[in-house]
Amino acid sequence: MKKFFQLACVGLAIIVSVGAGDPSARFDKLSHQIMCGCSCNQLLGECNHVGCPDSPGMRDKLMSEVNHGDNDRAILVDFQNEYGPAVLAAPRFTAFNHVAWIMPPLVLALGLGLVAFTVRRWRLQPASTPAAPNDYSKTEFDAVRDRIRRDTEI
Amino acid sequence: MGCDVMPALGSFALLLALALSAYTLFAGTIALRQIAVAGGKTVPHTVTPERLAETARRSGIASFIAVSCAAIVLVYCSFTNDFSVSYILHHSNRALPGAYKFSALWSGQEGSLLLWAWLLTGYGFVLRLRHKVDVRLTAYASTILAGIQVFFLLLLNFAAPPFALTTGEVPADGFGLNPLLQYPEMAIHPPMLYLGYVGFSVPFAFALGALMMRYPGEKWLHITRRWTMVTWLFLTCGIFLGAHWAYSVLGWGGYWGWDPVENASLMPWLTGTAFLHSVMMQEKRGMMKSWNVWLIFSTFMLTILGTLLTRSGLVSSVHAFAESSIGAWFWGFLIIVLAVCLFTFIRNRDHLKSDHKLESLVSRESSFLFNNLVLLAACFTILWGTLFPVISEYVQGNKVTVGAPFYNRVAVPLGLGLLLLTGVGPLLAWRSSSLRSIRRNFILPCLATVIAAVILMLTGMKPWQEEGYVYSLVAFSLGAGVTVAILSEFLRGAHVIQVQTGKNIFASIFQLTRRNTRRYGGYLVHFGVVVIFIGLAGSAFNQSHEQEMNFNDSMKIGPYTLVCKDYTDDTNLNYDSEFAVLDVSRHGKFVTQMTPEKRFYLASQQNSTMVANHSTLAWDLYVVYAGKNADTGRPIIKVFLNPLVAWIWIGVLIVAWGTLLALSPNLTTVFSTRRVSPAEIPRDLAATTAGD
Repeated sequence: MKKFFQLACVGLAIIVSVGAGDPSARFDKLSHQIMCGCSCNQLLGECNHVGCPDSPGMRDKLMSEVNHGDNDRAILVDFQNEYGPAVLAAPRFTAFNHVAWIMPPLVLALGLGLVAFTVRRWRLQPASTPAAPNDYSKTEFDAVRDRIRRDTEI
Repeated sequence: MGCDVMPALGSFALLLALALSAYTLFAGTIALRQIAVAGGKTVPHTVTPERLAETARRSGIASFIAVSCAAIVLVYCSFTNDFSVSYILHHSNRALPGAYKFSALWSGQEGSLLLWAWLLTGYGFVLRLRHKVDVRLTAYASTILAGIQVFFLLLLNFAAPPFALTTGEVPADGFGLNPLLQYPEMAIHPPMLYLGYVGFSVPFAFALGALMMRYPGEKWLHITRRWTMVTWLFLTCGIFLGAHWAYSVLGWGGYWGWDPVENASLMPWLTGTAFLHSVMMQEKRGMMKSWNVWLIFSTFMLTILGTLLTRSGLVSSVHAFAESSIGAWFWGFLIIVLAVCLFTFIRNRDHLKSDHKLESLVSRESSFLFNNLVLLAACFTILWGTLFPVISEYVQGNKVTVGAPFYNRVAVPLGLGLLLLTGVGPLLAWRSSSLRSIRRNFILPCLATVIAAVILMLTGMKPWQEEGYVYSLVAFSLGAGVTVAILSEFLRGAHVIQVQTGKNIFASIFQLTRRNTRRYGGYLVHFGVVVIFIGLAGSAFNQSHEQEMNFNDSMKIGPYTLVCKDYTDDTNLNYDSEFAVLDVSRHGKFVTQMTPEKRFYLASQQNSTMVANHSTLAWDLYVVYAGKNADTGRPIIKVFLNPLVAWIWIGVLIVAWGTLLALSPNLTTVFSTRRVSPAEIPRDLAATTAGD
């Protein structure tokens, strides 16, 4: 069983790493993690401006760094150093930027906790029973029953 | 009437509308206060509160006529090329086609605020005309709406006047409309979106009014249900029309860029959707009253916050009116709204105690609870992502970008969670579901999910290769499961009718749907959501290719081959254009001819892309004329092959159809409103009408 688990892990690692070193796949992936520098608010891989002053140069730089064999983090840091932090399409590298990623799952987890707590509290409390309508006579009950019967039949 | 008179008439109409709205607010408040203090007793007044409230109502109706007058004047100025009005000078020109002269009304800051005020007073007009549905509650709602009207009319009169005159000499021609807005969909997308945005003011006004007057029972929910659903439908259509416009015009091959303006429209949609679901718990079981009130308060405040974020320049956006000075007004209004909501809630919170409590975690109620949780988590994620650059600037001293990679990683799993709940919720019973019913209801959908996942992996989908493939696999598999769940609900109900009446299955489904339109309309909406998700999941398999093309050069993408037959340019009064003529074939068979185009608008001196798109159920062949190589003079053509995009638009149509169905009356209700005697009603109408 243990050996099977180890083999499965190795197999999975091989499968996951297949294609990871392909330069064009890496270029495509990284170009979707970098913003175009021309303030068009588009990812570098999707900027389609004719005569864009920034995207051709940025693409060339990215391609040369990918071909040079730099790792993803080094490439992104290099872009950040050259173009400023806003060039990265998502917050990275600083402790505060990690807060951006942590907050949504944290809020969801807190919400789940709150729901679980509320449900537990509700279930621990005895269910409220409506007070018996003592002032209702039998004929009034019969009238209500008749009305309900009519309402549910039609 | 001369053109110089028209701006004065427009300004006067806006001032009059402000005065009328202010009267509705103050007279309405005084009248309602007097009625509340009197508490049903007759108190001597020079003017009875009822009569004062009636004058307030009529004044509110008149405010709509005044704002309509202002809107018509602005459109008139646009059509008559009255460039003495600064707004027209900056958003129109003589050569602009007529339809776009009309859409100039909402193409800038001032005009779009006028549209907002127009729609708001229009909603108020309908509400005040239909006051007999509940005179006192409508009087409260009308007064609250008048307060919102006053804010927007103050803006229009003092902060962003649409009839401000051009200073100095009036130019002979205008600066033109933004080329991106010169697209047929822009004639419908903004009004649709604004109908949704503004429409949430009505359920908000009813909810706040009902809380203020401690409205007994849940009737106010029935009164506002249609308002909320219609508003939600408008917002849904507005959002997807915007996505379709972005897809067709911006030319980057996608439909959603997580731009702050897009996010601003999505946030109230999420809370509005949560409200539409959780309100059923209040209607059916008298639960979640405080929660529902805050959901609708939040939805309204998010429409204001979204407008504030995108119009104040607080967050940067590619959309037009990103920089302006009206942010302070919106901040002030938002704080006032929050204060009023908080004050009213604290004062009347004892009125919002639940009648029942959750009895089981495995119940329809709990599925609504989780659905609300996920929707609100998604809303928080989007708000957080939109605001994070501002927070980062404050904390770290630099602005960071929060773009697609963030939202894809964080918001997409939440979306898939919602897709799961879309299928699970309707299969659970109210109060509590037994193990037997769970087994009976879930076995088929679970099997469909697993079988779909296995088939997809066997046919070549490799989720371990890329993160996007994992999401797609989950979306397709869950989509199959949810579809089976919905279908089984239809078939189960139809089978009962079939047994009773002997009709065929399709007639039985039709009759079933007519008998509980809300329930089965809801299922149809859920099915539409599944179809949308399938369309979205296709984006993981997008392909693109860019190539410079000479005469008879060819390019291959997927099964298609594109051959450049010609490229040339053209000109007219409004724009110069360059375009290519491409023959498209598939496996050697001619399919279509496409003409991607690039335009240069003369008045605004801006470029615009006209995408050529060949759409099928399987994929869109999306072709962009990216420009000319300056050295060779040959066109550069960028081609995208985007799978399943058409499913998104089809899904939206299904959602719209389902919502309209849910809005229509049940067959039994039709019978009862016609006062047909029970003997005339077919016996087979008796069953399967209960529940949502």
